[in-house]
Amino acid sequence: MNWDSISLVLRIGLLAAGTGYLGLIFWLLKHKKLTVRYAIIWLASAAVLLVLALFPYIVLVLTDLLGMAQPANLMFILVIGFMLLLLLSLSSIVSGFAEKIKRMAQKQALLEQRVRQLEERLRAEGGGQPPFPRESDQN
Amino acid sequence: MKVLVIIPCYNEEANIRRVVEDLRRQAPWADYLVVNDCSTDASEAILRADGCNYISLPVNLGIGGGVQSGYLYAREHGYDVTVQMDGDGQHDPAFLADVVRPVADGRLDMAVGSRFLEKKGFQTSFMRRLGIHIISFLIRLLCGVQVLDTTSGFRACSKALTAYYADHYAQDYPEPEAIISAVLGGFRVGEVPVVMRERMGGVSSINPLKSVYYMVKVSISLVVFRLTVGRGEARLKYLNGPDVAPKEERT
Repeated sequence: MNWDSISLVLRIGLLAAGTGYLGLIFWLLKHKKLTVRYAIIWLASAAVLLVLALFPYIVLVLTDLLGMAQPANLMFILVIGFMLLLLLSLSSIVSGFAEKIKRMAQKQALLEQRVRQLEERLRAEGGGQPPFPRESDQN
Repeated sequence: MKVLVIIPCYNEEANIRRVVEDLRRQAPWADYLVVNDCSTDASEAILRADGCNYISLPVNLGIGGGVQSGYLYAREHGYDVTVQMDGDGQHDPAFLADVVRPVADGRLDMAVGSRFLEKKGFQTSFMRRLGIHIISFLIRLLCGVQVLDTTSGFRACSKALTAYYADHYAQDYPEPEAIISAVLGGFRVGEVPVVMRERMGGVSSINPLKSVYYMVKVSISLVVFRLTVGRGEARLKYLNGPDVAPKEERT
């Protein structure tokens, strides 16, 4: 495999894009728009991309080892596989959140009913005065 | 013997008052709880004005999550039998005692009110009947128990099964899946004949096209459910001891 197959301009472009990607992740982290827990996988992906941009030789060797026709194919397979796993993990995380939200809604509804009954009893004992006046008592 | 009737209610302003009145008149021996699943109509205002016993979910959870809050309530308050009854007036409280009896006697853990055992009363459309029979066949195939009216939401559950459902209840297609999960957990499931009515007012959430779509989705989810859940000893676990008491979620 020959070195000229990757031009200098392309390498500089890839490096710049990788650095920008890494910078974006750090920016999100800094502004608390991304928690460290979910950032690790993205940081790892940025690191891999940068390493491959710095040493494209790795891609060429791997392409030969795996018997692929084009280095681009290897990159596509890597990226698509990574994205599939990531999407699956996001679905799993969302399912976990849905379960937690459901539990919170149920507990909240049960508590609200207890509070409502308690307030009604207090109101009955206190001669019709609402114990804790709220907006909703107006109507 | 404390009996709780859970009435899920989503936008049932046309029916809910009559359903609750009907229940209190015909079965004054049972407590009830209306679960208002974040209705967007006047349902909650009616419940409040009538002084009904109800809980109001802050977000719409769907039938599964709504009914499950009823099971949580039943467990918290130590009910012996929990009955589900639809909020649209399809289920006649005159049959409440029939559904409760096998569970109260300890013969069953879940008694499903079935309109197909004696084929009396409202039998629903051909397409829906076909779908219900296919699901019935599938359930028999997957866990070996025959239940004819698989989508019936008129069912009584024992104390142990109530506690189990408070922890684990299907969210998307709860009626058929709850049957399988009960059977796989070792609970005894059976049917009693009831007569169902057509809904009193309002619109059903299911139309012919939707019921075909529903059928396909239910079948897939039941098969997937069976593939991921094995037979267990849930009944024994929930039958005796601390597991019947409220359990905190572990994460």
